[in-house]
Amino acid sequence: MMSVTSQCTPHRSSRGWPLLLALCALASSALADEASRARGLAANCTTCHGSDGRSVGEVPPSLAGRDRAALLQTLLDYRSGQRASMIMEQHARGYSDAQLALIADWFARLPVGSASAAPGVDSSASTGARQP
Amino acid sequence: MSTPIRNTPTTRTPGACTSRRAFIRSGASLAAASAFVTRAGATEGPRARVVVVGGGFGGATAARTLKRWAPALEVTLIERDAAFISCPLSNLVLAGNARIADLTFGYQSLERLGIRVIRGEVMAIDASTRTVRLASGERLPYDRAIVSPGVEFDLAGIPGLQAPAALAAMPIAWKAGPETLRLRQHLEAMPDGGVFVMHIPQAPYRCPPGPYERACQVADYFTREKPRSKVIVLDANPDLVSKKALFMAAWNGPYKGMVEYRPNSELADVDGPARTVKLVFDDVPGGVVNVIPPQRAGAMAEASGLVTANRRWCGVDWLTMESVAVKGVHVLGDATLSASIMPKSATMANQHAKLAAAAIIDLLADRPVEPNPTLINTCYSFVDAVRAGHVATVHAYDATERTMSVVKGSGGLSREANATEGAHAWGWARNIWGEALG
Repeated sequence: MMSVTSQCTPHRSSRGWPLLLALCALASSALADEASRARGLAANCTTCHGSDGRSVGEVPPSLAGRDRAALLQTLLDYRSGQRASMIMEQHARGYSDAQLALIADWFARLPVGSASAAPGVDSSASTGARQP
Repeated sequence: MSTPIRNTPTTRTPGACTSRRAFIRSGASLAAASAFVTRAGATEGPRARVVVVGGGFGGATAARTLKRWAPALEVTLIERDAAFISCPLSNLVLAGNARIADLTFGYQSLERLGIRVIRGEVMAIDASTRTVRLASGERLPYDRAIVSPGVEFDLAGIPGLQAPAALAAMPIAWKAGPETLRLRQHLEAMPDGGVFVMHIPQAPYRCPPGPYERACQVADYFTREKPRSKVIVLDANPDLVSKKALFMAAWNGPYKGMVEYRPNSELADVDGPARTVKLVFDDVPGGVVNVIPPQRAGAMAEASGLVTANRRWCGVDWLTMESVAVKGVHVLGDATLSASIMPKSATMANQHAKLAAAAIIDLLADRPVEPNPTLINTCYSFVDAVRAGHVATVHAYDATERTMSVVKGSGGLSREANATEGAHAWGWARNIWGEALG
């Protein structure tokens, strides 16, 4: 399920409405499924790249708000080995074209913003900057 | 992927189906889907009570993810300790390569997100009344419960380690905290020329490469401060369980002559006063002794009827992380009966947490769950103060076997430990800590 082609054009005939509503519901639920799937796949990445693709300290890099096409091409190049990496090629080989496209789309849509660092015990300040 | 998802910006007018059509045409996108979800009121998510037991990498990440993805949920997290101390990177504390304060975090961000954080001890979950029972006597009702209790040590086969005095003399330090600092103190007090003897239990145990990383960290410290000292690694397993090439390169390289590895070392007992590890066929004395005991799911899992395998681990449905034994209770992290080649790691617990969060939101909303979930693992190990290497895998749901299997061709080891990966390891840590407690 990669694209939703259901067209919700109102028909002149009132008999068309139940079908139309059903199609709309289907389209809506299909898109919701797709969003949910993309969020689940992207959640694989956020362990290292930060919640919502915003990386504390930018290593590994943030993914939020990146250009979708460039991000997808990078992932595809990691997978093919065209782009050298230490770990990303090993991860990228675990995903299909469709999955990588969903991941790239998900992160491209997320707004750039500050990352969520875990707070130290005695203050709300990030402890992230103290280490190399 | 038949049709690439386009990235066309859309403007949206609410209401009519015609605008929805224009919307779909211009976007056919995930943003569109999110908007649909918003319009349906579903991003607020279902109104229900989720109680999470255990505030480690699994539990805290699950609580935070649930609240972020479904703000209408009433999420309660129960944790025994006042602060979170990260096991990953805690081996570096033994060598003076990190401070325990760098690995210690508070729960205040979760409270700010609207999660109720209770400091307390859970005795058991009573699935018949859908309540979580605390040691204080309090009972918390839930619609779905999450259990992420970590591991507890099985000392039954190690009588010499059962007395509290024995633990002071031979800290386990396999849960980061005061024991980590005590083991560091023992290493500092040991004279040059002494021997650090460690014993590794049979797999599965928490953090497969962790013991070998510990051997490297102690060797790093000895190299700098006590160069005539030795590290003896007694492994109950027939070979290194994880990252063999990486650790052998360190033991045959910078630590050559310092680290001695002995596989198939079956533990009989430990003699605290003599500081000796007693193997079935041998006694190995040391200046500092560190026995990592066999492990099983945390005690409340057993008390809640969640333990299904070898009287140790909790079997789960990999589509939802729901217990195969107790409906409505989801189990995460080290306590689970691991799928093939799935380590008991912080990354894995983090991944379990997000899979469970998504599934619980769907289940509470009466929606079908994702039929093809994917999980990844990434584990870094430091061989000295700055150089690290990784192991990685991608796991996908196998509907035939109803388990998670490694995707063919995915994953691998570092070619070598290096400083760049050391920086990646710290970055991984900051982000996985943020996912749990940010």
